[in-house]
Amino acid sequence: MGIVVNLDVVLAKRKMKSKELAEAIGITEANLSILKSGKAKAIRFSTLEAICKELECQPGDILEFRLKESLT
Amino acid sequence: MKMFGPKSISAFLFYLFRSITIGLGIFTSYVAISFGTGNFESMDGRYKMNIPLLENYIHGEHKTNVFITISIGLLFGTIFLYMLSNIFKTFKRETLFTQIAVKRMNQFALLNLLGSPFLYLIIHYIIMKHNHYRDIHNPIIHITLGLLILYGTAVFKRGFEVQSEHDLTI
Repeated sequence: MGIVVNLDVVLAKRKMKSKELAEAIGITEANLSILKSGKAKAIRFSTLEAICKELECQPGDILEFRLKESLT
Repeated sequence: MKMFGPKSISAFLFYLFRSITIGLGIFTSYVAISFGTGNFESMDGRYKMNIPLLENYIHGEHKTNVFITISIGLLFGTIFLYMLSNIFKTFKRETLFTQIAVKRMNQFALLNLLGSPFLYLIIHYIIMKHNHYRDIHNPIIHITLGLLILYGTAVFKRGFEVQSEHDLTI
């Protein structure tokens, strides 16, 4: 089982850069990079809310559940 | 006053124990070199060694095994204090739960759990050739301390894991 972060895909659809999103939601680029790379252990509701608000999307557009086998 | 972090009791204890370690290290080196080079007075099967600056002296039986025992004992004390000061060094950092803190606590626990009883057996039965178990309370105290630190290490290890997870919460 694994949670996949599709933030890159949503950002590309919105033609927005990571730097712009980081500035808009008030987190560092480094933390956004950790989130995008899937290295983050958890995401706060407040962060998720800010991302969804900024990108005009649903949490499900950013986070996706996939079985481990299908990840490889 | 706070217990951990810069300008805390831990910082004070680090400087205190590190200073004592340096002092004891110099004293240990002086005693060991003096025993090795014969830099002491010998009379009636006893030795008397002057301690420079302190205008004091140490004395005892003039026997090689006594010299070795004193030197090893002082060396163990120096290592003990050095490792203790290293633990307080990690406690005076901004971040309390770190991998280096866990590593140093684990090393200190092992020194107390294994090093002390091993030293007791070597000195007491092999070097001094005693057949009684006097002074057994020393390794027992060290083993008890080692066990406590081992539990403290496990708590710190869990703290480090929680800290890492917290740091990776965006």
